[in-house]
Amino acid sequence: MRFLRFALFQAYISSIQKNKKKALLIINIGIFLSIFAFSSATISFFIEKKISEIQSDLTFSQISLRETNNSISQMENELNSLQKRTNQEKIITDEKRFLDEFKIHNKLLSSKDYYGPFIYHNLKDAKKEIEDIQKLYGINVFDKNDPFYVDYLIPLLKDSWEKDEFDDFIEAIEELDFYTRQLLRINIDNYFYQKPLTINEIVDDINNEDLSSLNLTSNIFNDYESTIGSYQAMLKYYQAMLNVNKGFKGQGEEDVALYEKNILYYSNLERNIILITFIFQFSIFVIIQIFEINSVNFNLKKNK
Amino acid sequence: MRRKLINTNSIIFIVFIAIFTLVSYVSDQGVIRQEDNLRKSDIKVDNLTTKIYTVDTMSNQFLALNDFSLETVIELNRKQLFWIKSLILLEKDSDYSDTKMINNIIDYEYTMKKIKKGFLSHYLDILVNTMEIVDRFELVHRWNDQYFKDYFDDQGYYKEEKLNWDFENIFKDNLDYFNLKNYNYYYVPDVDKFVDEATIDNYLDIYIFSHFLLKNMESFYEIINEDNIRFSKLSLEYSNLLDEELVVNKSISSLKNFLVLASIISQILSLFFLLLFFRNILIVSV
Repeated sequence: MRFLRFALFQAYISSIQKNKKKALLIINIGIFLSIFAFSSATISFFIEKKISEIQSDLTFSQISLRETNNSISQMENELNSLQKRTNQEKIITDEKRFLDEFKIHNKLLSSKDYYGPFIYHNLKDAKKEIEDIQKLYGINVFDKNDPFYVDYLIPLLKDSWEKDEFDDFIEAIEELDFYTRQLLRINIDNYFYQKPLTINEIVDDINNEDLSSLNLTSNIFNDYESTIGSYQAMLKYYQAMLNVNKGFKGQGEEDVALYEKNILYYSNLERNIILITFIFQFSIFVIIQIFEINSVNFNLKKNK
Repeated sequence: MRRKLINTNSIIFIVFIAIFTLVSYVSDQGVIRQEDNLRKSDIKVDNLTTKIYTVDTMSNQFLALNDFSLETVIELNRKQLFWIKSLILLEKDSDYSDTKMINNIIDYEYTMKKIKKGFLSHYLDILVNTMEIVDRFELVHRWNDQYFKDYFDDQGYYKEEKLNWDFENIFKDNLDYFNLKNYNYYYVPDVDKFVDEATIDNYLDIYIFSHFLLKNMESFYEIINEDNIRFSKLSLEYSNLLDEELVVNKSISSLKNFLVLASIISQILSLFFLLLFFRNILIVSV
């Protein structure tokens, strides 16, 4: 079919010697338009490259924003749960310490009975948590000298935060570090009953004056205070980290908005250029069709 | 005359027309392939998003259960010695009774009944809470069996009982500690009958049994935590895969757009060389 059309076209070209100048002019216009079309298509190619780069930045910003949002939601949950536990512990302990001033209660509940399980299980849990976080994320959030703080977070916040807010953050990680060290210094074996007590041991426990009061300062009481201190420090730390994450979130949202705005701008530009390219392309197509249709008509007339 | 129309230039132009037409076709094919890849990538992104949501939900369930078991263990441990101490100090027949305290009680019989019932209630709370933690833990597995294939046998029955709730075995493993070595007497006692009949030795046995049951319960939150860590890791893994897939997805989308543009440019160049070819044959047709 193509060969037939080319043969017809050859015959037609040979016949238009009279209008050759006119034909050349039309073809030259077509060539001229095709150069324009090529230029605009090339420009849109580069715009597409630019859009692609911004889109890649946008993707990373969106990923980071999603991760920050997840962290915020997890941290809020942890914070609520910890706040609830801390409040509950305070209410119960206040009540117990009041009742402890009555002789009968004082004898029935020793400081080891009451504070011991809380210290033992929280210490065990804290040790496990430090280990787990280290395993999962490769950082020790309880250590203020961890490279995550020293090399990354602190320099970043120092440059972007107000001095008061920055100082609060530093205080929060220092407190967490201090109370965690205090907590880890506790000898867990002091609070571990491998075997149940015998009746004589229970009676000794009842009569042990050193253990009887929940209100007197003792090693057990100090260990309990350290454990509660680690709870408070953890609460403060979560609040500080929430602020950090909210800051990251705000920055992330700004970045995403900026990238979206840029993509929209370049996208509109590209759409317009592609439209112009299409118009040029269509004009060239029309010119070519003029020649093709005329060649067919010419040959049809000639055959008649 | 016609023979003269096809010269070297014309052949070069025809070759270029052919090349660019071919490039345009290839680019179009590429667009179709990339569209297919994009669809597959979209499906992967959707699947990974769903997986992350499921895994995070499971992780949260384990976390909540972990908190619950930790709080329960602490509270039950705190009360462990309270009732036995009360009984030792206030039981008139006991060698260690505190007469002063006994005399301060308004209604002795009522108080003793209260203490004994409180003692049993603490013991029963340990049993009930153990079963509750076991049930909640197993339910997470049962409702997400695709993540716990090893926990089910060929018939689909749950076989993996990681949390120990074999109370009889716990009793038997520590038989030497008990005064009355009869598990059935202690599991599960009729509260009113037990309060009426039991001696201080029986209560001591209940305290000893409670101690071992609580020791058993202490192992729970470590096991639950293992699953929680497993799913936290899995969530991180899926998140990384999702991040990678999103990057792939965007690059496929970009490549598709580049191929569309390449196709347009090829078409233009093809038309351009066609016009040059027309021009050439017009010029040589003199």
